[in-house]
Amino acid sequence: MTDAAFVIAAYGIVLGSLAGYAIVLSRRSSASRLAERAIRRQVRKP
Amino acid sequence: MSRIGSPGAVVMTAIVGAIVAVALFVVPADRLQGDAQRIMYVHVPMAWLAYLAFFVTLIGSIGYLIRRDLRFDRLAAASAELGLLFTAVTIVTGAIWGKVTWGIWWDWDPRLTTTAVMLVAYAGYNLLRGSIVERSRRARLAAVLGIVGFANVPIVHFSVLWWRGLHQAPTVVRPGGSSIAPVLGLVLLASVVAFTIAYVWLLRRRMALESIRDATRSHLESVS
Repeated sequence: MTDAAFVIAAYGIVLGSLAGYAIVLSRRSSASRLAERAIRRQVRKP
Repeated sequence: MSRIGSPGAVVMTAIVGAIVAVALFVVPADRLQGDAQRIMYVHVPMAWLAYLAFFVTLIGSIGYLIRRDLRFDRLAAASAELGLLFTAVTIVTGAIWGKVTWGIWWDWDPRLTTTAVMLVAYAGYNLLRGSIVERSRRARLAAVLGIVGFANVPIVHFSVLWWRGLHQAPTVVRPGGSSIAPVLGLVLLASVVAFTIAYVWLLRRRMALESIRDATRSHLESVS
């Protein structure tokens, strides 16, 4: 591997990790919001 | 607003993208290490953010034990998860840089070893949080671990000064002044700032997730 390939690998890992974490966080937040709304609806039911 | 594609996400991506472009294509290569030195512009910010994230976890942990306010616990939890990510990325990018400059991926050097210990400690912190259902007990025990775990952070930082190893001593913040070329130092500083903005953005989103979970728990408790 050349130096450039190592550099690209390092940047890819950093940017990929941050982007991946942001995407997973977004999905977890959406799922939690849906669950929270569903439970709130259940609580309101007479 | 905190979705992917939100204005905050676009701004953060633009800031990080701009500094990455400068680090890869604008700033000159190092005289000795050549292009491999460009790894510094991501490796050092990741290490700095690992320290910062665990310091914020420490503040949140102390705050929770004093005030018993779950907002402090949410801050500690969010920052510890991010700190774990930054530590892992620091180790991986360091291994890549080590392979180019030292010829090896890993060595039981004091800095590398203490960083690995830090990774394990905060993995333990996150596992502990996931293993306790009762909210207040989880917050209390995690706060204790968040305080105890931070003791290793100064050891990681000063390990390069206290013991001999492969890892270089500080070049920016050190006795006698910085030894880094001004242009390289400026780009490194800009990179640290850019990734710190990304950390703050992710931290706020992660805390918001924890708030939603707490609200859900409250609703469930009101039903039962």
